Amino acid sequence: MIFIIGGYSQGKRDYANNRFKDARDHIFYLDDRAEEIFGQGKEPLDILKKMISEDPNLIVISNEIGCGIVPADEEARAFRKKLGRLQCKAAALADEVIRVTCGIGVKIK
Amino acid sequence: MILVLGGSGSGKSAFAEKKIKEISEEKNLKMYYLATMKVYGAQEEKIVNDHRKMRAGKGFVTVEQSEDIVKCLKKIENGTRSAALLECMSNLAANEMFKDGKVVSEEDVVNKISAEISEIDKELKELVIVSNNVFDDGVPYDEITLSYIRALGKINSFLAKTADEVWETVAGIPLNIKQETKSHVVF
Repeated sequence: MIFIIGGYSQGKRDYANNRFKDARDHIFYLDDRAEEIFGQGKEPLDILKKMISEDPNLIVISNEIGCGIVPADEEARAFRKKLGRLQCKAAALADEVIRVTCGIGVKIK
Repeated sequence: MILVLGGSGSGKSAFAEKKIKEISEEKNLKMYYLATMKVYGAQEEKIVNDHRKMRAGKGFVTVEQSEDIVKCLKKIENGTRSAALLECMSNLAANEMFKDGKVVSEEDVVNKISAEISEIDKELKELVIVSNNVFDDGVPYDEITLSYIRALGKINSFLAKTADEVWETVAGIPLNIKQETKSHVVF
């Protein structure tokens, strides 16, 4: 699994499309599905592992949302933290982690 | 001094703890934890308790110092045989800026914290500071919040300049961002 992380609009998807063949068939947007993953009552790590076993060429994309002022709203704050922890787990599972900033992908793992 | 930056949930605390533990074991130093969070209510209490649990049994002596950080030195017996982990600069900066219902100027906050940290850094054998990356959400904030963001940005820059090592954690991966060598740009 390839994990691509970065701020909003930094070119994560373009990076994936440029570098990997048929990337769009393998991209999974972690943030959009995070609520669903947390809501399943299962260990998020197991869900990710299952997805990788189903698609060995999986590309997980996620926004680095933890880099702002801590939200006053408790739910928003908790979500940010949970997604951050999930990103740590995804990175640990990934064969390669790329951080994209202004279109430049830096291989950090 | 070692500076560890990172966003929320990015694993900066765990990395900073690992770092100070390695150094303290190698140099046989006593480990202090400089806790800067002010407890206003149940939310902060929960965070403080969670972090206490994380640190339990790891050999830290906790010093609560939510403002006037230099005063922590009074509670540290032998500076030259000690290492301290300060967590977190974003709380300390907020506590120094928003005091007793008043707002202290950005410049005063930056100067006070910079001077006090320099003093602590001089007295202690090793100092590890955890700070937050609060700069990248692109949300427009009011002028007071912006002045806080600027103050923390300046403090982080000062710390990074002084520090021997600067690390940024991204999804649990520590990046050495003050090293001279080029990072591995793929594209």
